[in-house]
Amino acid sequence: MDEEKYTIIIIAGCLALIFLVMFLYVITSVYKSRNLKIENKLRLLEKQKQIDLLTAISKAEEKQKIEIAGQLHDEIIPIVALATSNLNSRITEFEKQGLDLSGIRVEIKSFSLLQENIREIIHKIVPLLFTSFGLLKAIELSIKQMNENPVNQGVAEFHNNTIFSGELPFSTNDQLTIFKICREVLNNLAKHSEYAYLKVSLEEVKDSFILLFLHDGKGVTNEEIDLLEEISTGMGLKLLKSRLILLNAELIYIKDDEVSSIRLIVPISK
Amino acid sequence: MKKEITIGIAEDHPLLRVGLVSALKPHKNIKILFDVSNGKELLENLKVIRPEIILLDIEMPIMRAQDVMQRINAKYPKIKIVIITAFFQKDYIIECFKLGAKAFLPKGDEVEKVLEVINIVHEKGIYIDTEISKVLTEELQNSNKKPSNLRLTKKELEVLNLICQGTKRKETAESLGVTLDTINYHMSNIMRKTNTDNVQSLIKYAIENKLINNA
Repeated sequence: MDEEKYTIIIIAGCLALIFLVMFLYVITSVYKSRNLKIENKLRLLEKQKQIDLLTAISKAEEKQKIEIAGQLHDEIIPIVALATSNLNSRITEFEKQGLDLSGIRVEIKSFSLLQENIREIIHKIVPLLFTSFGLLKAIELSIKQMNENPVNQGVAEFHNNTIFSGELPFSTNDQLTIFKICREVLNNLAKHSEYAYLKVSLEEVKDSFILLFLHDGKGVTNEEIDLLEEISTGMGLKLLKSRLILLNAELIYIKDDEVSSIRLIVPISK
Repeated sequence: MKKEITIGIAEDHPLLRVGLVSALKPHKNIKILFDVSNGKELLENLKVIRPEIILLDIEMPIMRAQDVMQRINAKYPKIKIVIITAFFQKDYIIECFKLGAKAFLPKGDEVEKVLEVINIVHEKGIYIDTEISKVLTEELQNSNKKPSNLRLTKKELEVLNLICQGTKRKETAESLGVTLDTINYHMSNIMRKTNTDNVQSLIKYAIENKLINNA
């Protein structure tokens, strides 16, 4: 009888011990998993915070640039243009009276040069083709200019594969950001891919705005681009990334021996 | 006595607008019907009053110049548009002419020049100076330089053969073990090389040039 009791006590003790170990294991696992979840959440929050900060900085920078361009366009250029025009008219009046002021006329040309330089700065910030003709036409004309550049040996074409021809569902600033992304992608392709034929096509303007760059040159993968962005001292790829973040957009790079591609996807918020 | 010419001015810079108005006002054959600062105001004014010529600054806020010009051409085709600009880039000039511009006027030009352009556009319908004609000629010559006798690659001939046999692009992609994007890319390149713009004309080209079954 004592032996039986003793056995039961041992079994019960063992069971209790097993239960305790299991309980401790479960508690530790739950604790660990909770900690991991909190850590992940914190990491995500930190990442989101960084993205928000980057977006805010990019937005502020873009806004500031556009303001500078606006001030140059609205305040500085009119003054120089009017002064040039008035001076020219005055000189014409004096010349009609027989005075030779051709020397001063030559000097006035520097005003025109000044205007041209200011306009160049403006158009670097807000490209003229974009402001005058809109995003799609500006992309098409940028491609045309690439073809005309003797440095580029390849041929590039733009195709609109959608039936879309109306007003794009983005603000002007967002369209400008899309244009700058496209220009950067085109510049990179012209510089590094050595394509013989590049086809840029608008594929969709519904849930997303999708632009596809297909070429037969040297392709890259997303991993290679990430690595390049990390080691590169240039600003091109970093600016490209911050502009993508601004639009919540993505660039998908696919490398292929035959035809490589870059797909720009910009979500359209309804 | 010269015939009166009615004009409208659309220029966003107040200084330049006022300068233009005061320079043109003393000339008896010019009648300024309105001066506005953006494309929207311009279109509003055109609903009630229509000048023969509009001096249009292409870099204006609120409405893109392209939209303004398209609307004017569609609704009021008799109105002649003279572009006021300081930027003489080739593509920009060509696009403006495509959109119906009749002349280009450099910003800050002397009033005599402005009057000359207005009078010529009024009389002859268009004014093209030497610089602009050089740009237009260059473009015309370039557009005639279409590729000819560009050789198709082995892969392109394979694609062409399948398409000529009536195979759909998706099936062609599956048959060649590539993506649909790749097939679309090859098709565009084939059409570029053969100067064709649709499948029917491409098939005709392939038959005429005995390209089928040559892959």
